[in-house]
Amino acid sequence: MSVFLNIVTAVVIMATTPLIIGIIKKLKAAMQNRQGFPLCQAYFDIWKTLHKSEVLSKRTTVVFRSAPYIYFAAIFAAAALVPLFLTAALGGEVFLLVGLLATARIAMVLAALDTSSAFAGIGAERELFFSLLLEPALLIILFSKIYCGSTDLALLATAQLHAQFDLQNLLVAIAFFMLTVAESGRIPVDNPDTHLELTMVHEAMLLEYSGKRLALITWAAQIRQAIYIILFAQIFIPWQLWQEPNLLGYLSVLAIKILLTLGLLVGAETMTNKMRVFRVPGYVGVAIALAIFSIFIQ
Amino acid sequence: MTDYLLVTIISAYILAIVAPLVLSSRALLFSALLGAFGSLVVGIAAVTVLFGAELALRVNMTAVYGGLSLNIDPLAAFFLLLTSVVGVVVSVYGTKFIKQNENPRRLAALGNLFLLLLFLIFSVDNSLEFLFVWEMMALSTFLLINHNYGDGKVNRAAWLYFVAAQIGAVFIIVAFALLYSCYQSFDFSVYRLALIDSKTATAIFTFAFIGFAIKAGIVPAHGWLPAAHAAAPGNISALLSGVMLKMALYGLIRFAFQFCVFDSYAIALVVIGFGLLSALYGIYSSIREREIKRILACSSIENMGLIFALIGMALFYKILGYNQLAVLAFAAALLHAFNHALIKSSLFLCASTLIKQTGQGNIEKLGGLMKFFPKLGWTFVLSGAAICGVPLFNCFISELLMFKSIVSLTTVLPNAVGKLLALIALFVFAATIALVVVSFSRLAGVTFLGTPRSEYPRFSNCGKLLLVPPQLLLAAALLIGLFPGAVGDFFAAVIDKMQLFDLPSSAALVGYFRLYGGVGVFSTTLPLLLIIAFAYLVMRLITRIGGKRPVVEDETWCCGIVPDKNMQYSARGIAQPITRAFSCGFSNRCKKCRLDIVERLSGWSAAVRRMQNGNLHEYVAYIMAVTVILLIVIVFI
Repeated sequence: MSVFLNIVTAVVIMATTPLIIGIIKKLKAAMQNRQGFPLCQAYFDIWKTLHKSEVLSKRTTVVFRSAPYIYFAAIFAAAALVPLFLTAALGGEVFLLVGLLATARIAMVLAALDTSSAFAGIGAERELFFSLLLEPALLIILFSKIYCGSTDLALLATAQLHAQFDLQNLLVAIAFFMLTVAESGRIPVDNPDTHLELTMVHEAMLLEYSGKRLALITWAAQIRQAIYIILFAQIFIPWQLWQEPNLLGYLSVLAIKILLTLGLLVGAETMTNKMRVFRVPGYVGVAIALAIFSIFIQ
Repeated sequence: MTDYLLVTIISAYILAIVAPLVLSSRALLFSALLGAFGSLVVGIAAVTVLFGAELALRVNMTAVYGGLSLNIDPLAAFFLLLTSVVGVVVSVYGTKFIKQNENPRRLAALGNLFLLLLFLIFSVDNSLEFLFVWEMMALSTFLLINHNYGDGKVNRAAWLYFVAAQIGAVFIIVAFALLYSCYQSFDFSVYRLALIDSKTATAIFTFAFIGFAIKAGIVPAHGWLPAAHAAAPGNISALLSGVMLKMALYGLIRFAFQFCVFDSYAIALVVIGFGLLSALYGIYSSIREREIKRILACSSIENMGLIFALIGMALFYKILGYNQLAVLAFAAALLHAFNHALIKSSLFLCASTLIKQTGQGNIEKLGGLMKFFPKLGWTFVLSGAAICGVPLFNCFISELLMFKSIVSLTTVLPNAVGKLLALIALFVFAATIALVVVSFSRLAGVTFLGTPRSEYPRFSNCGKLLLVPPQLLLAAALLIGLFPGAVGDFFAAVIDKMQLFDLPSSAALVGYFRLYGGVGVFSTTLPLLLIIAFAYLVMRLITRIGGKRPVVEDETWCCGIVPDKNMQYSARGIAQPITRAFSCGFSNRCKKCRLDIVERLSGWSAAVRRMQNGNLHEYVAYIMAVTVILLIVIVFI
């Protein structure tokens, strides 16, 4: 029953994700000389949203009503593929991960178009636009890691045991980091914290949701961010220390790596300004170019 | 027994052609059912060949049909199976749909003629007969596309198709003529010996490739395809996209793997290049279209491009001697062809029902149809999801196999060239599948979701006969997606029987089809299903928190305004950032990025026509100019 391990991975990621978000918010507040929310604020938010009653638009159909469940299920399944414990039954086929994330995206975009709201429309439009850039970028960056081996995420992660932190790995790491920033809806690309719907991408699509459905989507969106963060930590930070044979040592190294990633993310978010939507192709282009360079360096 | 099968098929089809012409229009139902029956028997014949003890099914029916010899080999049988599945479903759909058209008797007769010719094209075994059926096919397709000939657009589309088909046919005739000059025989079985030298084979294959590429709508010869598929009646569009394009694929495979064996892989790279170009350009042009059937047709260009690229890869690997990878790419091509036939036919059938009900196919004027036709809506949305490559649907499997074969390019050529090739292929492939998501989210979202954009006429009842056929195709697609292991076993057996590669393909394939690490037929997708089931449990638990809360229905929030139908995003609006960022202009008429050779040619010929304006003075001037030029030439050279 090694599927069990997949499910455990997904559950662990799901349970710790709000904490990761809390750490990001806390670090950000610290960098801006603010007190910030409590560390567990994301849990409280979800808890509170679950207790709210729900308003559904009467214009919507079954697509809007079922989309949060499809979104959550697809992202949960994607989280199950993440090589958190380095081995599992569903080894973590790269293309399956991409396919599941695309499924989640389709569900959200269709739900947004179902509301017939202009804000949701602009969110959907931009989400599709970004996905067109980010999906090839993700595949190419992962390809630069896998191009002479298997397309299995777990094998990819174990291969890092013997990786050197050379120029090639550095370039790919930067490329994937840029992608993580974009995919997790952080500042140069998207801004989830503004009060203006027009400047948002992902959040604009959720405007019509409330209550339990909103809670599901918020949690799933956080898991999606966590997937990228953990992938970055596991595959793109080669660290000899994690050869520690015992579970505790392994987990602590993993935690340090994730914290490091979070620090980088917060730094990047605090130091940059949000760019115009039509600048994003150039930004993703740089990431792709770095990945391509790294392939030819070898 | 096998002779009876063939005789049954041909007589059923001929009866189905004759019945609506001779009998009154009451025979329409009879004719459609006969067509369905004929297609069903085609399927039985194909399965007999694929699973039967005898590999070849050679029947010479000289006495009955005057020299028509049919021979269904496993390659043909695979394509006949595809024809049969789509043919049965489309015929059943036709029982009700044909009556809603003008001149239904003609449509019924021609539709069945088309099915008969499709059967013949895959089963003839002789180049003369092949060319004869090929030309008959072009003619009958022309008549079918031109069915609503009162409409000027339809007329133009039909002629455009006919011209393209004839140009393609010229190349194919040349290819067969060259083969004849090599072997002094018209027989396919002689060609299969593949005795010609590599250079001649390359030349012959080049001609065949151009001819079949035009037939398949490969960029830059794709201009006829969206117009023709949009102009034809709905059930015929499904056949055109689902099956007729595969005819070109069949021809290409015959030439590439059986008739011409060559040893330079450059030509395989050309096939890959044209395939990838069509894939990207086809799907990119689909996000600029607004007519629902044109969008679907553009997506057919994309899918044919992917399939051609896969065939190119199979050829490439085979020439370099990597038979295992060649089998992988080839299986991916066949599976994608099958998947595309199922899903695209389903989408076309849904679209034609929709157009008949609402009276228009311009998606900018549709919207909110999910509320009026919920069943049609979810069939369409799920078919769209399938073609986007959502896991657990069929296209995901073939796209995964394609991904694997692209990634393997570097293991074959581990130098910079190989890396570059793999990178380009991977980038185009990834961009294509991302654009498919854009295109179908836009299509489904604008057509079926949101608020209606125009006043619809009063709808008649949609009827089960128009709904069940696309749902059957969707169910077949879902079955392929849920049991990839069984599909893999089937494809391994089929490819083994085709004997195109030097190695037993089961060894090469089975590992790739047992997708998610499972063992046994039923467990291939089981891990994923288990995880999704667990996700469902988790969601149930989460939503349990906070108890049952009231759910209120209210208006969409839009800054305090009641949203108007014009405030929601239009099809143009959704595509706008993409068309703008890639600076190919917003309008459909952007000249810069038109790769279309047909448009270019007609532009040039218009320029030439300007010379022939019938003005006597100008002709005198031409003569004058020519004389002067000649004088100059004579004096100075």
